[in-house]
Amino acid sequence: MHHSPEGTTYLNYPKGLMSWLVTLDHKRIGMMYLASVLFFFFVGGVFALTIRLELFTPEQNLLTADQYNQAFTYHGVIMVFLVIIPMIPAAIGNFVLPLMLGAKDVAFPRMNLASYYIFVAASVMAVATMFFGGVDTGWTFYTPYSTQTQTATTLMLCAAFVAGFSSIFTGLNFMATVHKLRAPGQGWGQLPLFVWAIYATSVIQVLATPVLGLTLALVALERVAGVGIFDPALGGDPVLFQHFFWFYSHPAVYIMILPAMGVINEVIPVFSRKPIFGYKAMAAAIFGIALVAFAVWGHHMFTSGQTALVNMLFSLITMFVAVPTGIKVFSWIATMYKGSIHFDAPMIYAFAFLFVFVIGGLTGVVLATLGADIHFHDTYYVVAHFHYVMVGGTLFGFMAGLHYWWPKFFGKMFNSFLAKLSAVLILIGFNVTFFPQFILGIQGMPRRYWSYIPEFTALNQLSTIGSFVIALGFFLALGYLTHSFFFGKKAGSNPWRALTLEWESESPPPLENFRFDPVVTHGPYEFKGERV
Amino acid sequence: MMDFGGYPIAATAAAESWDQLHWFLIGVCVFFSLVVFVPMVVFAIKYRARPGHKPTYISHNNALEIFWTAVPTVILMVIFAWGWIVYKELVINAPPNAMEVKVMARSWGWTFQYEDGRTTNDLLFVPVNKPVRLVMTAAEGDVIHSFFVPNFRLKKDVVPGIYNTTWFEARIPGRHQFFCTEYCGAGHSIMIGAVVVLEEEDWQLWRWGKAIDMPDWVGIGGKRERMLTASQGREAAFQVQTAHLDQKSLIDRGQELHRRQGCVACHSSDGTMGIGPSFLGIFGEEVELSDGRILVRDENYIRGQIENPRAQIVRGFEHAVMPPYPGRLSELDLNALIAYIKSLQGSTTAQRMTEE
Ligand code: HEC
Ligand SMILES: [Cu+2]
Ligand SMILES: [Cu+2]
Repeated sequence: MHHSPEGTTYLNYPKGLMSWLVTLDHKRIGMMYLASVLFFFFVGGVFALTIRLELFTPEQNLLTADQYNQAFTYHGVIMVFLVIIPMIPAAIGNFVLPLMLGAKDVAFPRMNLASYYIFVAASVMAVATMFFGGVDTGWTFYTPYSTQTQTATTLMLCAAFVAGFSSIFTGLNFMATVHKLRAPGQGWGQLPLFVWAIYATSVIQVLATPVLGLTLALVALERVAGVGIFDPALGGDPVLFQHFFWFYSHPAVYIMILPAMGVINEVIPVFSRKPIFGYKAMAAAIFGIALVAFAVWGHHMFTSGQTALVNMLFSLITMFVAVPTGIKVFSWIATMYKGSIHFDAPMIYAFAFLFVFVIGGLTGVVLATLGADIHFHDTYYVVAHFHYVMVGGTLFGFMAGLHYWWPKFFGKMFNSFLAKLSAVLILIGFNVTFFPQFILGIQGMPRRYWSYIPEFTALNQLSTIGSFVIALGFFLALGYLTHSFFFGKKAGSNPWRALTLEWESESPPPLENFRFDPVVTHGPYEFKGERV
Repeated sequence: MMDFGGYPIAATAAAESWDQLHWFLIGVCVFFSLVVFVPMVVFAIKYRARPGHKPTYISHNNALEIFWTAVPTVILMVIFAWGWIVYKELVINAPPNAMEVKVMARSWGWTFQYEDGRTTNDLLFVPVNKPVRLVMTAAEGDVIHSFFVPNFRLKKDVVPGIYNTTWFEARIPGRHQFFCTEYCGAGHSIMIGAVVVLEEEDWQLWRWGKAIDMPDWVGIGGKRERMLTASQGREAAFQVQTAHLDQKSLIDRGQELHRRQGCVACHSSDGTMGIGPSFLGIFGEEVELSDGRILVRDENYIRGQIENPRAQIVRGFEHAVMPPYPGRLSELDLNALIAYIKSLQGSTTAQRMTEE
């Protein structure tokens, strides 16, 4: 086995730009994903702020209706396909997963690199659409609007189609890695729950993404060749598209949230100095959610004209998503019980996650309630709900993970006070932005409205103000993280005194991850008999 | 001071049932939020890391885990059942005597077609305390829209090529704001209007084409109009739409189409079998198709039969051919033909028809 020279890390050995661009090292690929994802998070965020500025008054402020429709489409497409889906698995997971298993790399390093470049290709295509007239279909691409609109939709459909392959490649790779590359002594019962979560996510990615790919390909075919599958003017069925689309996109919600839950599973025990409460139930709950996720897509279509019986069944099955989700939330709280809680930045984000995710989850139950959804469907209530889940859940989970593994990524610590300050700012800004949107939804404001009746003005203004507080919080984070990257204090191999394998290696780890052969002798959360 | 608005007005009995469900759901949300947030805060304070404080090793507790699996499951089932009950009241249980209005959405506006054949745009006129059933579709070649009346807690997508139905019975006279809630392009957010619920006398006047005063807005919706009035310093002129009275009733028009389009050559209206089945008394009845499917002859079935007869062949007519009519009949013509077929119910109608 080839060893990297003593004292080098994956960041500086091997050297040179080329060595990064063609690297097969999962850590470098993870970091390249991280950089891309953060870049697109910025772009998607700018679109979000533009949307909020336009909605500051009922009348036109800075965008025409067409521009506004493009802005929310780009915000959605970028945030969903280029940020939230790859954010935790492909960026953080790529780096952490093999380390947690004591492996030297993922099972198929070349495929891993391919997945990154496919992602880049998809991003380039998505961005290119802006120069060919833009896309105004919304990220949901509903037919027949998407088959008729005269914009660069075909290219965007191809972009999403291509992005799917990157997701499938990553999923396959992680599944094989978990099966084949675990360290000696690491049975399934010794896997960190983050690994369980990424594994379940991978299963969904591999099973559901092809359906989305084919569906979008069919829409593209319909646009180019006039094949009548979805457009009733060509003899197609537009509601069929909704079935296909949500068959992927509902499970995609769990592609987005399960990895975040995985991060929280790591953070809470470490900062409570206690084992995770109910390890088995936690792992089972992850798979419970992943399984039920495939049988609930119809809850997006309660008003589409779907028969009453079908509506009833989808409402019933959707209720069962809440059971394993509840188990997870209760177990996190129980993990804190009689612990010794340290309020470092990752833990602050875990608290923020819990606060926001619980509200997102409970309003999800409201929306799953058949009668209730008839009023709420396609109103701002839905917008608020999924931002509480996606931003509050996934993004806060990501931020918890980013801060938790930052010392491992770069071997540096960040300014703890500023980190907490920015977390609190983002949390407050988030609630000021999105809580009013629940009320707007109850009052009846439809989503995707460029102008609205003046009755809705005050709440919209509050929401816009909140969005700028969020932006402020993130700029602060950008500041202290950049500072840490260059000038941060050395972190040491295990600054949080965690028990999973990645902390046994140096920070940052060397090219081959471990300079010794790791063996697992204890569970991932056995903080037994520890002194404070 | 900023005006955040209030809880929306409930203008139908079903909306009141919806509100009860909603308050219950809010209660559940608050309760479970507290169940999580209170311990979270208490533990964070009580078990904060400090010198001399040691964590206790606890890995799981089966009884507790079963408890917090079972109790939420039961509560979720209650929520589900209640949601289903409200859904039935809100969407399905249209009384049979409901007045029918055809709704046609196009980018970007609404046309309402009444039983007596007249039409209005963007304002749906209905009498108070009378059930109204909406049969909705989008214009040919158009995209999906959705009809949403917050005061009625009512929403249904309006899809080109099929009929979606829903119903309401408004209790409060006045103008009730409605919106399009399915994204449909540049005009999506201006594709709005009002359900104008009229007192009985006004309704009668309006029906006969007389002028009436436009009733006030109920709940949200009036602000833009009031702002306009204020800025112009006078009562802005909002004219009442009186529908064209020269139109024939839907049924009469359907009867005429039945003749003019040649349907009569194959379909009688008095029960005698021709090349195709008679239209007498078929609406709402079950039909067996040649492939064994049993369907109810509703609006969607009739529409499908006219546009694509090969896709649903009536058992016993496998060898006869019905020519397809896609695109040859407008949406309004389809509405009329369906209304006509629907009117041919039972023997009295048949008698009248044969006498003529
Ligand atoms: C050339 C003869 C012919 C003409 C003209 C014709 N039909 Fe038909 N129609 C048939 C036949 C044969 C069937 C039964 C086979 C089938 O289901 O296609 C049928 C079936 C139907 C049915 C279903 C009846 C049932 O019992 O369920 C409807 C509704 C209908 N036609 C409507 C129309 C309308 C409306 C027109 C005029 C616009 C029309 N048809 C013109 C021959 C005709
Ligand atoms: Cu869903
Ligand atoms: Cu619309």
